[in-house]
Amino acid sequence: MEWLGAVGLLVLLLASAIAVSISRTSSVDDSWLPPMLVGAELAYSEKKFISEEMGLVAKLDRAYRTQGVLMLVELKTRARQAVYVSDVIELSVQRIALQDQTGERVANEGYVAVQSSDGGPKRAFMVKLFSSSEVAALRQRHQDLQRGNAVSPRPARSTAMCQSCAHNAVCARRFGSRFPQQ
Amino acid sequence: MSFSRDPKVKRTDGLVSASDLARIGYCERQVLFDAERGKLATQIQVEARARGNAAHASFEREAEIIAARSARRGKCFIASHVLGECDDTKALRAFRDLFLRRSRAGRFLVAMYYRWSPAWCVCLADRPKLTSAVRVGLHACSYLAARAVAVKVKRSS
Repeated sequence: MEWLGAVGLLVLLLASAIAVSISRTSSVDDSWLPPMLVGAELAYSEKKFISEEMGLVAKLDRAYRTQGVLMLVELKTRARQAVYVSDVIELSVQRIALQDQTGERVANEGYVAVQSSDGGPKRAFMVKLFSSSEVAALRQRHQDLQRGNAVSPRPARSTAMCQSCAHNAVCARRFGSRFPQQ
Repeated sequence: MSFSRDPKVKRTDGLVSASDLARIGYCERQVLFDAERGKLATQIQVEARARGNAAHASFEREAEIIAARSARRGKCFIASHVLGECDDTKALRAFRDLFLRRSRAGRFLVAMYYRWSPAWCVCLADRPKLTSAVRVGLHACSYLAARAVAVKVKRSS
């Protein structure tokens, strides 16, 4: 039976050697990461969190644990290297949900990793997140909009956004043709 | 212009998702019309979402590699990677502490496991079939480990 053990050990060693060689070829480009997150522990990735208290649910892209706090990172693909208020809202909701569910402290800042639409390199932008009361106000506004009770709903910030929106024609009929239909 | 229904519409017991709330920052009127007419997507938006999904898939694969790298420095490993935190991983840890760490040969095996398992984690990251096979093996191992631990605990008490 000894030969069986030897063969088993040999197979295991061979498989491990293959595994190591594969892992060495699987490199990750983290040159875009801000210095404070380089080498930090990746605490959560693509995980959903719920804040029962605020009635919010969020699936976060990444949360790094560094210096006793969790730091959120959200990936966005877009043509322009820019951060929008919608990114900040998303990260702020993630922060509340993660904090409420785990009890861990989450930083008041987060990062938006913007990648160009053609899959180019990423660039990280630090953003200051909204407070819980600000998010609560946004949630109320969202509810009012959904129920049709909101006063003067704001339009998109650019005509390009309107032109790619499926509601463009209906929107123009109701609110006027500020943004012409394509 | 043709529209398609958004497959990612979320209606989960009164909970508002981060991406839904973020739409306020994009366009409040869109939130209003989404509620009235349902979420519709133009071809441009469908294509943009497809690009976003592909980028996220790649981002997730990178995260798996980073997690495996972290494992090399800390604890984790194949059992945690494949099974997650559950009774099976607890049984395997108990077996490690009660049996393996109490002999020289056992400590050697544990050291070898710590040496090789991060690489295995990387290998398993994007191989669901292999992960399933390893999971079956680990379930069997954890069952045996739990039995051995139970016997040892009973004897010592």
